[in-house]
Amino acid sequence: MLLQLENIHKGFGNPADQTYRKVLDDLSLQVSEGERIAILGPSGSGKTTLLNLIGALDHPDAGSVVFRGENITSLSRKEMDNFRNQRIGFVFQFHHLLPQCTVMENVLIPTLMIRDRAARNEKLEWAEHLLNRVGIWDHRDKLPGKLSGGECQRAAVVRAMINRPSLLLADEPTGALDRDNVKKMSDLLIDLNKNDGLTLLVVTHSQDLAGQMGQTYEIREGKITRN
Amino acid sequence: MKVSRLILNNLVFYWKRNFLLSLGIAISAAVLTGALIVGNSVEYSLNRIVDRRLGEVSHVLKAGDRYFTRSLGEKVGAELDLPVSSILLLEGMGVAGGGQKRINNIQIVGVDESFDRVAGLNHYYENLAGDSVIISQNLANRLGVSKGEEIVLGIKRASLIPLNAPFVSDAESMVSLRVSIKEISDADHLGRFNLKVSQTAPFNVFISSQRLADLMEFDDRSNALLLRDGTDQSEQAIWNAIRENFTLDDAGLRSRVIDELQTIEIISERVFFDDVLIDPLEKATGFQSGILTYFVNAMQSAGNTTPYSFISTLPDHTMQPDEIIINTWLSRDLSAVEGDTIHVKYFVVGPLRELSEEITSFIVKSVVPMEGIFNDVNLMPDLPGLSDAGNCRDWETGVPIKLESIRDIDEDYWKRFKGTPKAFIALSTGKELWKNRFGTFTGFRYSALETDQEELRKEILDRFDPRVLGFTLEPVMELGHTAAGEGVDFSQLFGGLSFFLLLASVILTILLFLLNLESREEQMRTLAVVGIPVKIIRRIMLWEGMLVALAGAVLGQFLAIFYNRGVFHALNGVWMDVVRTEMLEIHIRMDTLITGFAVIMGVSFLTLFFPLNRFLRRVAGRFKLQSGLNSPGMRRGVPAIVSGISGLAAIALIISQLISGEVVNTSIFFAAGGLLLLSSIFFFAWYLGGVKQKSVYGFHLKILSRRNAMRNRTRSMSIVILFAIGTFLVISTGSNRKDLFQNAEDPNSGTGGFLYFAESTLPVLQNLNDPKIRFEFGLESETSFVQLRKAAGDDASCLNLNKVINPQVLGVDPGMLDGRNSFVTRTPYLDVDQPWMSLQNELPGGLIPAIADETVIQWGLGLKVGDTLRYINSNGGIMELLLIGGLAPSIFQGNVIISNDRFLEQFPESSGTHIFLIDGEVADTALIRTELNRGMRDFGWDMQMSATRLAEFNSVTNTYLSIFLVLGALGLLLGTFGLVVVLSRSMLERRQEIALLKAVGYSRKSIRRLIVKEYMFLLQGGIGTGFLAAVIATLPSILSPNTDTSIITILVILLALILNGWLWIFTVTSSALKEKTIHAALRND
Repeated sequence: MLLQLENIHKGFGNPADQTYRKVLDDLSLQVSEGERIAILGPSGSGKTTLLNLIGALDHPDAGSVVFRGENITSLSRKEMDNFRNQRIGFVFQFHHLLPQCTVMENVLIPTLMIRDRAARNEKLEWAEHLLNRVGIWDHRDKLPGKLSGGECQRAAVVRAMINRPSLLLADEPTGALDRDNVKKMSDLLIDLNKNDGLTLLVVTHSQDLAGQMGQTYEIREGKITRN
Repeated sequence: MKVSRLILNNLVFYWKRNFLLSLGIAISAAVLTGALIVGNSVEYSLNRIVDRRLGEVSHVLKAGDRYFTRSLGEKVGAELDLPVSSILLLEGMGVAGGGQKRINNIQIVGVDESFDRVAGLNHYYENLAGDSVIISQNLANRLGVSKGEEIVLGIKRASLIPLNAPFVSDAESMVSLRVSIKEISDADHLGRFNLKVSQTAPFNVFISSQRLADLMEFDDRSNALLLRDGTDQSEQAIWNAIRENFTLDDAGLRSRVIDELQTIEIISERVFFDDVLIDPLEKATGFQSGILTYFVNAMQSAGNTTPYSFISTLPDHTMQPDEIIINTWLSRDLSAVEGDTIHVKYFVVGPLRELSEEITSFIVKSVVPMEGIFNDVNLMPDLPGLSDAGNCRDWETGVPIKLESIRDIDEDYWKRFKGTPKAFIALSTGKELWKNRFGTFTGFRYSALETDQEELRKEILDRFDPRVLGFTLEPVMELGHTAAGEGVDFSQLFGGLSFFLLLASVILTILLFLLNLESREEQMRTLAVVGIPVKIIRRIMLWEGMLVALAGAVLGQFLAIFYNRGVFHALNGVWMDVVRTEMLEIHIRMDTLITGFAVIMGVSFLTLFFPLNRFLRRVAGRFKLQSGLNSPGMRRGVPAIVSGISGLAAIALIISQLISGEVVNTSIFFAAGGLLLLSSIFFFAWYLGGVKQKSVYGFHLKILSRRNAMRNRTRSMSIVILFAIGTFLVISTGSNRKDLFQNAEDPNSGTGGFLYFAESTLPVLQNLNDPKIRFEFGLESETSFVQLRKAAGDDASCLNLNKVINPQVLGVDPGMLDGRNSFVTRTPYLDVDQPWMSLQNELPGGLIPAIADETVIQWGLGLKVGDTLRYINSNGGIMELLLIGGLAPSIFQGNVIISNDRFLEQFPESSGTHIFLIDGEVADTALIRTELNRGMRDFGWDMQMSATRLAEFNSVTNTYLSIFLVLGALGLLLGTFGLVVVLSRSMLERRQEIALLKAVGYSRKSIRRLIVKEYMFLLQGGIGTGFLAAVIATLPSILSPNTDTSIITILVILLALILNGWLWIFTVTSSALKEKTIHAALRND
């Protein structure tokens, strides 16, 4: 089992007053290695919150998130940083590429802390491979401002893949793309799942993208149900 | 990809923002380093001035009002193997242009070739001879004369005898001389020669010392010995050499052998012996007696009168206190015999030559033949004008002589016996009657059988230290440099004056940095999401920021030099009032630049570190990648609490002042204003923290603009704070300007209600309130005078930038100042109702009560009331003045005032008065001036309206306020720049919002109105807050008649600030609302 969420509770605001809003209520989910999962749900249903908990960006109020047997809710801040850096890849609706860095540099951002030269070179080769694979190698020295939205999003996927994560968390990855680019992005994610064994957990409103995932879940009123 | 690469990318990609940020830091650096350079430069200039006023002179032996022999200097120089120069330093006045141009208070310096050696010059002064002089450049400029022309000098007569001593003639108190100008001496040729600690150059005339001594009718005398010690000899070694070569002649004592009496006599050139010499003289081997011989007006017995005679003393054991021994001549003249009563009439001389004739009666003990001690002409003191007169009718004494009462037999006695005393009384009686502040004895006699003249001289010398006579050795060079080093700290001063400019630039820097951070928030979140630890993100941002700061700090050092040049240009020009010298030079020290650089880097670090940390905490806390730029900031309750507490404190302070009904305390009002400013700023912060909308139906444009202002509290508050503080400073500075002439007639004002303040170069020995004296000087108008004595000291007013340790001491009759001036600080020793009278109080420990301007005490001396000032009095003793009260700024600035009685105890030789406070009718102002200028002309009379003198001091304050105002205005300019940056940035960020407003039908005009309202709300909030606080803070000044606060000026400043802000807001908004920009925004979305 790659990921196991048990009895997750999460809310925002002060539980003692009216500002409190429960988002996730006793949610449990299990994800196996190599799975493709889509999570659907209306706005504000807690999809992104769930993603943040899995990605060690946030802590649940109660319950546990176990990744390959390790409870990540008990990790220190430093361990959480390391966990995100090494095990998880993130892709968002917007690419969030640094405008001051070239595509190649953006892709290599997660490798900033690596000091070993050999490891750096390995990452460089992997980046070259990935950029070629997603079709933007020729744009590697360009700034993001010179690329189309789809190309930027592909660069963002490469950035997410640079440390060979086991799990890719994608939050509306096609939300800002046109139809052609939605297709390309979907294909790219499926390809990474099938050929690289990457587990995918995608939050989306897109039925097309959801349709290409192996499992589909829906969150409503803090509860998750399998479709 | 390395961190360094990312930092480099950031620097290059965001170069415009970084440039702007570095510019903000550069301005901070320029202001800070600039202030430090100003301080260094002023200190350097003051030190240069010390070198230029002293040449190579390291030490000076000052003789007070005495004159030592030139041979003392030669012997000291030879023993120490040092260049020395004995100079004669006198005061005088210069006249040129046929009397049209007249300069008082000139320093007349008698020099010879040795002066070149101590000055470090080559053959410049050595050829001065006769009536040719070298004058200083400033004097030449003021008199409008050049080399080769002639001027007339009036030189204060130097006298070996104190001018106010009994029977000393004041007939010729000035010597006039027409001289030709040989050279005009500039600063490089010691034209600024001055032994006093001041950056202001005196007017100097250098004349041959021989010629000057001839004019003063004494040979071989000097009153200052200059030493050039290039070998760092200790002060003690120099003093030892002086002590070893000091002779009785240098002390003004002479010895003579009276063979017929087998007696050696010691007499004083000053007629009366200083009391400090009594003990050493009485203890010397062979001592017989001290003698007091006095000039009496008349002796009468049984209707007979003998006019003008000397009476001397005999030891007490020779007669009873009420007995008198008369010689046969007098016995015959008065027909008096043993047992008869003789009435002796004599003058007692008061402090200002007020003569009171006293009568004492004696019983004739015996009549003695004129032989031996009873026929001793040597008993008559050596009084110039009297003892050297050929006959009685030629007498020139300091007392009125009725020539008609002098008979032929008196002339005959004078011709035969000169001033041989005709009668003798007991010494103790003589002391009781005729002891005066100049001394008690006129001679000391010793048995020639027990000692010889040389041995006696040596023994007496060994028994006293020249310091008791007022001789002092001063390491003038060292003292000068110390005074320069510890003087007004312009670094601190300009740091303080530039405070707002510095604050504005720091706030601007923070603002720019925050804007940078905000625009990069998303990036930081991305980095955090991909697992880059916060500390790495912090390191990246800090490195980036510090590199920008580095560029800014380096640029700032260059800007500082330009800023400094600007400040110096002003200090040597429009702001000269605060420095009083044109000799300021820029001096840039590497350590100053490094200090400025280091401090600004430190400030930059703190400026960047804390906002960054706060920002990163937020980023770390909320990884969600959405634009929510709203700063959570501090909890809303905190500003409300701070605002409430400080506001209540301000109100409490004001109410306490109103209830107490005491004299308005400006400090309390300023504190209240400051608190109110704080309260208002925090109130604004609270307000911007969010105001609940009661009903949706009330929503309109105004509310929308408020909401927008609340949207980013940090930015909004930056604008409010910048304008609030700026307005507060500018308005309060403007309100505090002193009206230089208002209320001058009020006795409680700084003028003391006196119409004129005058100084004389020559001492005025007479009481100018005496109708007879007034008649003599032709003073007919209704005036009254307060005459003050002065003892040498340095000017401690705000006009002197050096650190002054011993300010000039003035002696005054406290009763004459009763009810004048106002006191701002006091000790329990200062009487509340009659503060001036406290000067007469006896204080514990022999302390002497003293009063000075509070500004002098605080800034000039670096002391506070209750502290003690130590001086060396004219007897070499320690005089301790306790500062019992501090005056509100007054015409006494620069001086310390004690009572006349105490003054004369400490400076008994003081001759006359030099400072005059003149009361008169305002309507007679012109008449009084004309009369006094004419009548007192020969005294080197220099008078000015008291209000003008006070204005001169106040002009320093006003100039400082002007500097503050200019720098404050620069700060406001920066504030305006901050406003423009924030507004431009906001407009950029809100393009979508604006586009939306357009889309829903808002016109361009109404959108502009919305944004202008939003920013005008912040601007008016800042300005209004600052204005209100400033008005409260300066309420006493605004209401006081002594300030020239103009409501119109304040309103104009206020209007200018609002208009300036509105103009920028309108311009930037209009530019941002161009159709093209909006359409572009719409396309992007």
